[in-house]
Amino acid sequence: MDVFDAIKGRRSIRQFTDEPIGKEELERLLEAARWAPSGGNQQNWRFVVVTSPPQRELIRKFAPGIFAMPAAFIVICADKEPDANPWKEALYVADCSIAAQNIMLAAYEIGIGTCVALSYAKVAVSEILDLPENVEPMLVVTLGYPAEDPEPPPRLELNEIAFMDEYGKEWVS
Amino acid sequence: MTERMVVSEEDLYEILAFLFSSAHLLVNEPHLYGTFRLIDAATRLIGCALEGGELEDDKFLRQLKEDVDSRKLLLMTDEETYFQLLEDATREMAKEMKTRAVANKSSS
Repeated sequence: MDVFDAIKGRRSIRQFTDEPIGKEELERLLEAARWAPSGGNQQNWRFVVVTSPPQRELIRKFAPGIFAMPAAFIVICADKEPDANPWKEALYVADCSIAAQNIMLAAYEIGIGTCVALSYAKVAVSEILDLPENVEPMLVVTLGYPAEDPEPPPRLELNEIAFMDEYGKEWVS
Repeated sequence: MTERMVVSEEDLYEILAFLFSSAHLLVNEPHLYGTFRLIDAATRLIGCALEGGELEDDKFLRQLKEDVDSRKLLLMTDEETYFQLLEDATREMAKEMKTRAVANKSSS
């Protein structure tokens, strides 16, 4: 699949079939995450793959932003240094977000729907997954075979968000 | 209308987890998410009541849940229609409760 087709075709999927996702597919997604860029190649991300029904059920209950039960979750965590400064904190967010996008595009290519969620109770997810104190769940990616085919949401025009040479100086396509 | 309705222990814990998590998250989330969490909690509660409970045949609640569930995600793409949903759902609740109140009064 062409990368640009994946970028434009991917949708946030919030309704899934009951079909489980195979180990091979999950590992492919983890590989996609592993090859994401990270600041200073620090690779401070950690990935907890959740497929067991009781664990999935528990996470969903503490995630108001997740509406239906997915076949799996990948909880993207940051293995944080103690007393990380704001620059480091920003890096954790950026690195985990880039890894999430790799996961979502790789999933789309093999027919798996995804949605990235931030509306979950971090304290609860940390407890459920038994995360060490320095490991923070940054993003939760839901995964499953799509049971919906949503229309693309509107996008701002390029000339509203992109500028040439200076902010405000119009980008002309 | 006056019987005491009880949700199952499992449903109660699920709704409590949802409500506590929502309250915690809403400290930092956009304020409109608060409206969403409330109607989402409402339809989850309706779902519990409809699933094998005494209210299984309640057509009004079933329809209301369907209406709200089908339009609630418009919060993300079409705020005006979403606001209309909040108004519609409230109006429908009021109409239904008024009808029930009148029926109760005339039967007593």
